[in-house]
Amino acid sequence: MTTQVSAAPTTLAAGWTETGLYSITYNLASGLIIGLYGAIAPFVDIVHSDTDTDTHYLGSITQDMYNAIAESISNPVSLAFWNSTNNTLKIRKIMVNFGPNTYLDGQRQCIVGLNNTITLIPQCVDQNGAVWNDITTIQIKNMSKLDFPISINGNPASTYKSTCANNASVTFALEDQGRVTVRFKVIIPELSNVWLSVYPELYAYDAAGTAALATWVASQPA
Amino acid sequence: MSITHKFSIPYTHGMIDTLENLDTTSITDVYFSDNKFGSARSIFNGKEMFDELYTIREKYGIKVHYLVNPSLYPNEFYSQVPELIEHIKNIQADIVTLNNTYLLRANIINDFRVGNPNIELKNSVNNLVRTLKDFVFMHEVLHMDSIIVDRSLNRDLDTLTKMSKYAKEHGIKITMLVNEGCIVDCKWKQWDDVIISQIKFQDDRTTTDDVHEKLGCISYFKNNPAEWLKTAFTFPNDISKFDGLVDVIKIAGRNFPIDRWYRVIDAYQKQSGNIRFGEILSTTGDLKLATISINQITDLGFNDLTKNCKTVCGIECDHCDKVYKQITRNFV
Repeated sequence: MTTQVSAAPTTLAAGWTETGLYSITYNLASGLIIGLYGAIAPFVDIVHSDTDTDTHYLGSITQDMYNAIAESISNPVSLAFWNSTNNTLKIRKIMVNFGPNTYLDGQRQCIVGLNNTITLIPQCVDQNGAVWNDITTIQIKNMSKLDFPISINGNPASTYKSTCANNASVTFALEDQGRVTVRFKVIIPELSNVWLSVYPELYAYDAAGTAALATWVASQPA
Repeated sequence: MSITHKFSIPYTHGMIDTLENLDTTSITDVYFSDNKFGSARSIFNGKEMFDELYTIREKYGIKVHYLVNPSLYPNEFYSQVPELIEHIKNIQADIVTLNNTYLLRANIINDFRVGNPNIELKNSVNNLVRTLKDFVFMHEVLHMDSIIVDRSLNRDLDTLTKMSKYAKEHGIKITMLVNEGCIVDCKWKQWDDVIISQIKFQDDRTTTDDVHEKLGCISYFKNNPAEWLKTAFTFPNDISKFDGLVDVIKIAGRNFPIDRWYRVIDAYQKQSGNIRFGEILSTTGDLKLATISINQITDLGFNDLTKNCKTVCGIECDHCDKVYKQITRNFV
């Protein structure tokens, strides 16, 4: 029988208000925030030793902060965690910027590049988009491995995994035609078993498509 | 390089306006039921639905596929068979799914062919064609040349390969339902199917919905989240495993809202893992799992490790449980 997927997680408060007071629940081992709730009054931290979680009162928070925590609970490209040593909240996201000669094919909803070479700039950022310098390495993987050869940063296509620095350019030379998914992944330094990943979808045109893109690129203002 | 697959897609009201955004060349048919002979007769769209289906067929060449699949037939049904034959002729169906094995054995397709010489007849997924013996039986005894196999075959490529070999030798087409997400050999399924068969348009289903939600798979998956990962499905980014084995991929989702309907079909057509787990499946389960993207799950080797699942969960295998803990970051 079929039912609908609920619109919002039950571990989230109903919504943000300027005067609203909030608390979080986080995992004591990882620091990962797993719940965001409205709070009617301040209270001291409550440790739930049976589930290794701690409930911590935050008070009023900005709408951006609320949205960032809420996204972290329900979206794997974002992560919010609590540093209980200095009582600070950390929010990190993984995102991808386009490098030169790289575009979005709106019809196919995937990323394309001139001569089927795509340049992406993966970044691990905070909620304001500022790059986090404490994350130095981003892992790269061609999800199709040898089934769809890709030369990553000029390396042989048989090497389907690579790494790059945070906010560095990565070139993907697609050696087949069609759609392929790649992965960028970061391990959070403080939390060795928690990661963030994002999965851009790339597309390599056939000869006609490659020529059409080259013509379109040439027609664009410099 | 990916191969273009053929898809059988569910009817959803208003689909004609969204269809142009999908790859219509890879869609063979739209399947639906009505309140005359179909199951799930609470879904009643009347003339408006048929007008939409005929327009889609004319514009895109996508066939009209009528489901006759209730799990319970009243005694009077057998005297209504001429009416069924007439109805299928009147609605101009190109494909019929029929689960009644008495009628299949009686070669009812010959009666359907009077109205449409090119009509295609399929059995229902609820006929549970799970073994090679079942498959051969469907062909030799029930005269089927187009067979929908059991959901469990999503995770049993060994048996599917044997069926495919037999199918090629005997000119049989194989259809696989990929995203229902039912428990393999589910002990609630027969009761769910009976409920669905009995529902009629505008019925008050408060009590049955309550029973289903509290005592069936919904609460089971919520209490045992990893069990949802052990159900029968194939992810969009894994359908290439059916290359050369399956002719048509059937997508569930007859009452999905149109946005979700589009995203699910689009993901399967593109073989994309950038869609959430809870969106693609017809069943409902743990919310944390529902919001995880398919790529997150398959990144942990899920697809490779479930190609030939032996359903020995909890005793000889705990792969799905481990994946659940990893993807929900549920470390303790």
